[in-house]
Amino acid sequence: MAQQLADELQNLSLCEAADLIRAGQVSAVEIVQSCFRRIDALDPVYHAFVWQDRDAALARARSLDAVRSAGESLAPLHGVPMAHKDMYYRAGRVSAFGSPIRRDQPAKTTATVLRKLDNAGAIDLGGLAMVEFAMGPHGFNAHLPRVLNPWNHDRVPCGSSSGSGVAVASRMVYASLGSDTGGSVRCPAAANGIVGCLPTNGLVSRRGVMPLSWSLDCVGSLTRTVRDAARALKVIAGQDSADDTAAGVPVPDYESELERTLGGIRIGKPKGFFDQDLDRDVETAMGASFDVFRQAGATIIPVGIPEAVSLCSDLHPLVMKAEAAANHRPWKRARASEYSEEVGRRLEAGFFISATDYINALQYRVFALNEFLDAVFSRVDVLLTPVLPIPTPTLEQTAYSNGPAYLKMVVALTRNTRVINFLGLPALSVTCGYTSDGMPTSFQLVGRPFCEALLFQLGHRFQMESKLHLAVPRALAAGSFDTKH
Amino acid sequence: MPISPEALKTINDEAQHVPIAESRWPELAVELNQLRAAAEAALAAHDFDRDPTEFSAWLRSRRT
Repeated sequence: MAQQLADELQNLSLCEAADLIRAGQVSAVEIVQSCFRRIDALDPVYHAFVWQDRDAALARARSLDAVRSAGESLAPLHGVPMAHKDMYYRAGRVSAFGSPIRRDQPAKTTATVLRKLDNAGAIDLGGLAMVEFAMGPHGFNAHLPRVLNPWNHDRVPCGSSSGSGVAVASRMVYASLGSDTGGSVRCPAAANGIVGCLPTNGLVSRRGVMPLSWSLDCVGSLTRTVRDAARALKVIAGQDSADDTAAGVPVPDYESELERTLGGIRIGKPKGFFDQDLDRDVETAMGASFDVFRQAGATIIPVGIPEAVSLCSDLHPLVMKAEAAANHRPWKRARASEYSEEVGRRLEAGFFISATDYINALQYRVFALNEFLDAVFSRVDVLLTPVLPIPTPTLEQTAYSNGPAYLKMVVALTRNTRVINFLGLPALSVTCGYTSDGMPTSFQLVGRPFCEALLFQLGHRFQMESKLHLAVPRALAAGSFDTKH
Repeated sequence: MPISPEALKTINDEAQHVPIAESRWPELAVELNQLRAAAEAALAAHDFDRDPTEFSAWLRSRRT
């Protein structure tokens, strides 16, 4: 009976859990303890967490239950447990960024997004595994135990927000913040069968978040439902007096717009770039997704992708590596041996990119954005593309080497996502089917700047029609916890 | 003219001072030449008056 109740609690979405707490049907303490049981059962195998603070989480849950008992008004995430990629600062606490270099350095400030989540009533259970300094798409970190994909332990969880993807997919927590510089929210969301939200560049404050690449980094969420992503973004988005890059644009009530009809919405089917080198199973899942939207009332329109996108894909690593190298230069000089070979080498090219090439690449972003907006969003309201053009790779396929197969795989993983970061546009990754090996695969809805509400509307409708978000990795179904899968 | 491993090594010795394995210089030269080619290709769209920090403002201006 206790197991059944635990399963029921863990299978709730973030919004459902918040609603039950609000209604007094379950307490924050009960929900937190349920998460602890789940973590105890799964995380010794999955390794999603790098640290937990259970005493603090329980103390906070008790205080939130007291607030509810006192009849005070409740915030939108009141009592809901979350955990985040280990790169969000909380004053006095260590966020190690997946690196030994940061293991002994407590943060001096608290990230704006953590403060916003605190104010919204969320409970922070701990820090989640990530690729070292968020520099890598497959999810492996040589300094940490290997994070396993609950859908298949021989497949990568993707990264760099690997722990976030696995913790949410395996229902250890209800939502997680990741970061997305080239696909690090959307790729693990896709590989783990959940939702990944990349907001428009600048919509969410990055104050108190580990920088990888200042011009490309975005804070994003990983959740099980689109409604959860909408609620989370409403909480974390908006102006921040401590972060000049945070856009002062109005933040709508995304949830209130989820149920609008799709009539009149034009969805672009890409011709060029995003339809190239597609795995057949991914292509089939994409075709079925267009059918779902068409039947729901949207209009599907083929749209040519401008040549500039291909160049964006090539310029993205130039910008990212130049900015990352600038951040890492003191450590690379003094503590080079504390980087893994893989990430240490990935940083090296950035030290030799000329300032003129870097600035020209930044200048090109405006040109490319205009080209893209004119070519795509003059004809359609959103663009639908695959997240990963290939099935989720095996551990063996992504094992580090300097051979061409490894390099090709790493480039392929972020092929469709990094260009969206370069353009600064919002994207929502949603599971849309399975490849023949049983692994989930996802599309991304890409929108005009600050058009997240439309992406949520479409993503939510897709989930309501497809019900794919209800699928549980077989190894975790019905509380079996068959972690040998 | 492509960037040579020797040129990169000289830049590192005189400016960057980052420890890099000897075997890496040829690989790094290949990577840098790919990145340089991308930067050269972007010059076709170069606009003298474009301020690179305009990007964020441009995103906001294209909000609909």
